[in-house]
Amino acid sequence: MEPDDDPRLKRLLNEWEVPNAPDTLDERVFGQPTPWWRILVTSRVRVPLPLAFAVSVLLVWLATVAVRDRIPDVGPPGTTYDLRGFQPVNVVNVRIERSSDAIP
Amino acid sequence: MTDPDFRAAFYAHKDVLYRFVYRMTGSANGAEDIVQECFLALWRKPGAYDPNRGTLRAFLLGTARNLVLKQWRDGHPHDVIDEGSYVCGPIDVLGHERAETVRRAVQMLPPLQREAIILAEYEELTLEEIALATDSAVSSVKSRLHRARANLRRMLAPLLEEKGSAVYGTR
Repeated sequence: MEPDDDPRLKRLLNEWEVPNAPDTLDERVFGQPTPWWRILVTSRVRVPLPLAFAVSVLLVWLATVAVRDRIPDVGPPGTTYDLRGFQPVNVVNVRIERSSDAIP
Repeated sequence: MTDPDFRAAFYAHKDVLYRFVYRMTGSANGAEDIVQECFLALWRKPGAYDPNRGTLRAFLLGTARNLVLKQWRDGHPHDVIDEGSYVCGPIDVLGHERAETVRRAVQMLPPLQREAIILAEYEELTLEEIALATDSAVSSVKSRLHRARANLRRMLAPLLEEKGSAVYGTR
């Protein structure tokens, strides 16, 4: 019986060389490098729900304050109207004018 | 498993897996497919690897080995995978490069003998590592290695008997 540790056989076997893994394997496993704009568009940020709620409330409050401060007063000062003494019309006399009766 | 852990595992073991599958299947494209599948399986189910049971290299080789044998069974539905009594005769060495003759001889071995000889002679795994990767007992691995070497000596006898030929061991 031949010994299992046979240097001649080992040397002969090692004449058959095979290459290492090609670079295409890296691309297949990890995918192509992602362009920066796609990272911006597709990135996700995980935020705890209580924090997200608190930030949302804060943003709404800030927006409300900002909008309220920018609303101008309606009309110039001194143009308020006083309705005291206003008398409504008792009888309304409606006159319909046809186009043929219209004053030229 | 974090992304850096996974990348470290990939770069540490991709070549040994690729060479193993390439030698088992004889196909570069097939080797790429299977090695990719191994790493995707590790990424999807990192818990399948238990560090207490052995090295990550042995685990990945085992995954690759299972995929290779599944492919072999699909292609040889009527053949027995554990052909312990299979005896290979001498092969025609005339007109062939020595490396090509060695490749043909290794690929003529039954699958379980082939994987044992590739892991032992080319990737230099210990008997225990081979047993872990192939999910076999150490005694079975020893037996397969012994039969594989006997078959290879018969097939490659003309090359082994060449007198004065310079044979340099390279990987």
